[in-house]
Amino acid sequence: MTRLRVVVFSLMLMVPFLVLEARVFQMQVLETEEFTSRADWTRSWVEIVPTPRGVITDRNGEVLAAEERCFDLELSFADFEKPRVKGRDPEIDYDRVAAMLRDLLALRDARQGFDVRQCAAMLKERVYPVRPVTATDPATGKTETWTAPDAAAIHGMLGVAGSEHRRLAGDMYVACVRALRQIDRVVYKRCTVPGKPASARDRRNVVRQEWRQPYPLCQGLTYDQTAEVALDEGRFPGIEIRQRTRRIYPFGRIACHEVGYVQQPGRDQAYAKREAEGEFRGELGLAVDEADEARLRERGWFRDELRGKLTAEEYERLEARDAFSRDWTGIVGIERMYDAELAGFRGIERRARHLLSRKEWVVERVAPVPGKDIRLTLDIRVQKRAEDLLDNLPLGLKGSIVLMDVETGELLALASSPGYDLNWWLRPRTDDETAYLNDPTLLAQFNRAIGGLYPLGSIFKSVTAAAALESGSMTLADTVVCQGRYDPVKYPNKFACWIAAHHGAHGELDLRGAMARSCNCFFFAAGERAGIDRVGETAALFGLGRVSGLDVFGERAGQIPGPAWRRAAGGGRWGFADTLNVSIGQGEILVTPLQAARLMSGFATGRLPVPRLRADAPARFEEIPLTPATLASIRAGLEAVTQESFGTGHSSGLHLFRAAGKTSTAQSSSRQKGLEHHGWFAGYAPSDKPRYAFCVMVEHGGAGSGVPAKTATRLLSAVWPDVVLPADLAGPILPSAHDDTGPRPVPAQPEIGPEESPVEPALPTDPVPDPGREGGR
Amino acid sequence: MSIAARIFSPSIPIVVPTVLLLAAGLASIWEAAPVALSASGGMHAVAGVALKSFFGKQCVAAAIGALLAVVVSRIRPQRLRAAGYSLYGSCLGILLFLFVLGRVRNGARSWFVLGPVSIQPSEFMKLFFVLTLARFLMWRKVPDRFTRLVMPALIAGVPFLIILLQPDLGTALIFPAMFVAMMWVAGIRKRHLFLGVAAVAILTPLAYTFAFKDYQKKRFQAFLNPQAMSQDAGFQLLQSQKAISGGGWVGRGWGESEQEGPEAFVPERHNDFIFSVIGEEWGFLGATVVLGLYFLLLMAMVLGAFRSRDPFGRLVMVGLAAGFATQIFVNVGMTIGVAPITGITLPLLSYGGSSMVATLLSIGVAWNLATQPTVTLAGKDFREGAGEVLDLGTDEWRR
Repeated sequence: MTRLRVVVFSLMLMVPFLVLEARVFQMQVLETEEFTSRADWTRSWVEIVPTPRGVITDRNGEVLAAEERCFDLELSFADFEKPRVKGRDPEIDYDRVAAMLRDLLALRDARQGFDVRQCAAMLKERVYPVRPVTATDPATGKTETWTAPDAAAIHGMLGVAGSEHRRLAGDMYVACVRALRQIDRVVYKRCTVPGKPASARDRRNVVRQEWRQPYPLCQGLTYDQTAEVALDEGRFPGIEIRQRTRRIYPFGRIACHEVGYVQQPGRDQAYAKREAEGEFRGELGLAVDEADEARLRERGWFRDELRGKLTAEEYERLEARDAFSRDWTGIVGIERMYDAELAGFRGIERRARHLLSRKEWVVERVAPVPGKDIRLTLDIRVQKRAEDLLDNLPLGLKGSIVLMDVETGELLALASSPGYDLNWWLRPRTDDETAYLNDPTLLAQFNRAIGGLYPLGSIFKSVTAAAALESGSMTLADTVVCQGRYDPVKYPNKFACWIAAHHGAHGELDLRGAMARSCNCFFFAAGERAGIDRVGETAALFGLGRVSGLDVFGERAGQIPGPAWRRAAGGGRWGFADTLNVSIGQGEILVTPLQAARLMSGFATGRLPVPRLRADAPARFEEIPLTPATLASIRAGLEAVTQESFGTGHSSGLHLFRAAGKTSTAQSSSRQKGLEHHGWFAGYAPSDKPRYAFCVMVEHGGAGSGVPAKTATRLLSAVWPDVVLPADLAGPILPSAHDDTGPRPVPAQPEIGPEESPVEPALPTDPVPDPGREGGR
Repeated sequence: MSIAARIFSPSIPIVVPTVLLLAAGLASIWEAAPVALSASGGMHAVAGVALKSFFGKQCVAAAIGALLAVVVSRIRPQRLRAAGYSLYGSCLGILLFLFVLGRVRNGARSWFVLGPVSIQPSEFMKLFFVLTLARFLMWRKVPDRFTRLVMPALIAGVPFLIILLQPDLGTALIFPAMFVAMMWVAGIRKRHLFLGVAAVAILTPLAYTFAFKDYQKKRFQAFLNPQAMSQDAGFQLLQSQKAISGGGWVGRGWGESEQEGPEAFVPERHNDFIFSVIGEEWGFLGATVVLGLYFLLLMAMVLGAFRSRDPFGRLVMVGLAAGFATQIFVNVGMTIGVAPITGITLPLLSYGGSSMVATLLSIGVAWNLATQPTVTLAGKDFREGAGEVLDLGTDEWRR
C-alpha cells in the first residue's frame, strides 16, 4: 500500500477531467455552430385551412344555405398501431380496426339508425387485400418482393362504397384504404421512375411518413358524438378530432333546385377508372388532372399568395391524398353557379412537430379568404307558397311555377315539383331517400321550371297572332269563321278546333275573341297567312326555343320547328299540316316554363328581360322589335282570356288580380296511356301596369283552364295577400272535370329525341331524361 | 491555527466545493425541473410553490444529506470502520429484497418505496461497499496473489451483479471502477490488473451480444452513432449536445435556456442531463468551473488519502474518489457524447433524493477520514511497516 500508487491514482484521475474539459471546449468554443441546426429534429408538413362557404339568402335576407360547426374524426395509423418496420412493411391489426370502427359506428347508430352488425360484417368481408409485388432494381438488377395493397381489389371495393347504407362504412373503410393506397402509389411511382429505383429503405420511409398522416375517418359528427370519442380516448387510439364548418339548408326542400347542394367530388372513382384503363401510370406526381386544373385554379389553389409556399413534394403529397379534390363543391343550382365565390380561398398552414416532444406549432400560414355571401332574388315566402301549391296538386301531379319581375327579370319564385331535401346530401341517406331521388317517374332532382321541355300549346297562339299582325297578312279587323274544322272544304275532317269535340263551333271571331276562346281555327288561319318562317322568327324574338341566360345551370333551349329545322334534324319534308300544328303550339314545339313566363313578360312590357336569381346582378333586357299596336292587340286578347266571361281563364278568378294570360292544353302523346294533356297557364299581372309575369305548368294536368289557372290564382294571392278570394277559389284545388277545352289530336307527330343542351349539368348519379319526351316512359 | 493552516486544512477543500456544487445544482433544478404533474397527468396549477415541487424535494434531500454529512464527519472513524460490514450486509439484503418487491421506475427495479419516500438503495451500496472493502483489505495481507483477490472480488461482484440485473448498468459500472482503484492502492500486482482488464475487454462484447437488454443496446448504438438512432436514445444525446454547444463561451444566462421552446427539448434534463442545463446556460466558463470544483473535491480526497497513514482511511478515500470520478465522467461524458448513455446521476447536481443523500454521506465520510487521523495497527504483511503507522499519532501536519 504505497503512497506512490496514490500519486499514480491521482494522475489517472486527471485523465477523465481533461477529456471532458477538452470536449466541452471543442463543443462550446470551437464548433458552436455545428450543433445549432434544428432541421433534423422537426418534421414539417402542410395542412389545408378550410374556410366557411358564403351564406345564401333570399331577397329579404332569409338564410337559405348556412354553415354550422361540425367535427371530423381522423385516424393516424402511427398512433393506432406502431408499424413494424424492420425489413417488413407495416401491418395493421385489422381486428382492432374493425373493433374500433364498430365502436364508432355504434355512436352513430344510436342516432341515425344504422345497422351496426351489418356494417361490421361488411368490414370483415373487406379485409384489406394484399398482393405480393415483385420489382427489379434497374441499377443492380436485383429483384425484390414485398407486399403491397392490391389496387385492383381496393378499387373494386371503392366502386361499391358510395351507395346507400354502405356509405358510412364505406367512409371509414375508404379512409383506411386510402392511407394504404397512397403508400402504394408513392412506392409504385418511385419504382417506375427509370434510374431512380426505390430501395427498401426508401419504401419504409414513405410508409413511415404516411403512417403519421391523419386520414379522414368519420365526417360531420355533432358535438355530442365527438365528445364521446374525446372522453374515451383509450377506446379510440390514434383518432384525432378536427373542427370545421359544414353546409346546412334551413329550408330543406324549399327552393332546392335553385339553391343546390354541395358535395366532395373526390377522385377515387376517377382514379379507379383511369387506373383500370392503364392511363394512370404517367400521371402520378405533380401532374394535375386537366379537368381539375381549371376548377382548382378557380378555387384559389394557385393564387399568388400560395406561390412558392408549397414544395413539389408537399404538393404531390397533398394531391395524392386527395386534399384538393376533397373540397366541398357546389353540384347544382346557385351552389354550383357561384361556387368559386361562395367557396372562398383555402389557406395553407405549415405546421411543424418536434419528433420526440410531439409539440406542434405553426411555422407559416397563408390565411384563407372566406367565401362571399350571395343574395338571391327569390322571395322565400312566395317560393314556399308556390312549392306548397305544386306539392298539393290533385292526383299527385307534377309541375312547375315561375314568377318573374317584368321590370328587372328577377325571379321571385322558381318552383319545380317534386323536390327533395337539400340536407339529404350532407349525411348518409336512408334507402327511402335514395329510392325517392332515383325514382325515374319522379325525377326529383330535375328542375322542371328551367329544364323541362314541353309543347307550349295554345299559349303559342299569341306568338302566331303577333307574327300575323306584324307581317300585315292579318289586321285587327279581320275575322275568321270557326266551323269546328279548319276550312272543311279544302281539308275535310282534318284540322279540328277543340270545340268540335263538343259538337260545336265558335262562329265568327276577331283576334280578341279568338284569344279569349282559344279558337284553333282562327290561329290556323293566322299561321297560314303569316307563314311558318315568320312565326318561327317571332317566337325567337320572344325567347322561345333558346336559353334565356338565367344564372343557374340546367337551363335547356327547347326548339321551335320549321322547314330549316326539319331539314337540319334530318326529318322529312315540311308540310302544310306542320305549319298549322305549329300555329297552335302543338307538334314539335318544346319550351320551358321559364320561357313561357318570359314570353308573357315580353308582351307585358315590350321588352324581354333576362331572368336572374342573383340579386346584385344588373338587369338586362332584349328589345322586341314589334310595333306597339301589335303588342297592344295581343295584350287585349290576353286580358280577355281572364276578364271576359267567355274567356277560358275566367272561372279561375284571375280577374280578381287583373291578371292577363293564356291557358294552354298541350297534347302529350301519353294521352293514349290514359294520361291527361299538359296544362299551362302563363300570364302577367296587373294588366294595366304589369309587374309580374308568371307561368304555371302542370304535367298531365289536363285543361289549362282547370288546375293550372286555379294554381295561378293561388300563387298571385301569395303575392297580393290583401286580395280576398271567394271561398271556392281559396280552398284546395280539385281535379277538373273533363270539360276538355283541349285540342283534338292532330295526326300523330314523330317524337322528338332529347336535346343535348350545352349547359346540361353532368350529374354523376342520375341522367336527366327529358320529361317532354313522354313516349320514353 | 494560522490562516494558511486553515485554508490548507483538509476541511476547506472538501466542504467549499461541495457547498458551491450544491448551490449550482439547486439553481439549475429551480430553473430546469418540469412543473409537477399530478398522478392523473393534469398540471398542478395551485401555486408557484407547488409547481416547483422538484426543487423543494431536492432542497429537503440536500438538507438531510448535509446534516448527515456533518454528523458523520464528527464521529470517530473507528465507528465507521465497525459499521461497514453490517451496513453492507443489510443493504445487500435490501437489494435482494427489491428483486421481489421493488418498484420499476425508468425500466429498473431499483426503488424501495416507503410511503411517500422512495429510496434507491444502490446509491448507498456504493458507500457501504467502499467501507467494507477497505475494512476487509486493511487487515489482510497485500493482495499480491491471485487467491487473495477472490474475496475482494466477491465483495465487489455480488452488489455489482445484483444492480446489473436490476437492471441499472450505470450504477453497476461504478463498482468495478472503485474496486480497481482500491485494489491498486492496496497493492495488487500489475500483472493481475492487466489480466482483469483483458478479461473485461473480451467479456464485454459477449455480454453485449447475449446479456444486454434491447434498450441498453440501443443506448450503446446511440452513443456510437447518434444520428442514426435519432428517434429514441440518440435523441437525448443530440439534443443535449445541441444545448451545450449553444451555450458558447459564457452561456445564454440563467433561465434563458432555449430548451423551453417547442423546438428543443432535452427529456429528463433536470435529472441525468443536468449538465446540459449548466452547459447551455452558463457556457464554457460555467462548465469549466463546475468540472473544476469536482476536480478540487476529488483532489482533496486524494490528498487526504495521500496524507493518511491509516490504510482504512486511505482506501476509503481512494475508493470514493474513484467512484465519483467514474460517475462524473460517465454522466458528463454522456451529455457531450464521449460516453454511452446510462442512467447515472451527476453527484450533487442531478435531481434525486437518494443520490443526494448518499453523495453527501460519502463526502461526510471522506471529510471525517481526512480530518481525523487514527492510529492503526496494520496487519503483519503491511510492508510499509509499523513505523509509519506509529508515526501517525503524532499528527504532525495539523500543527
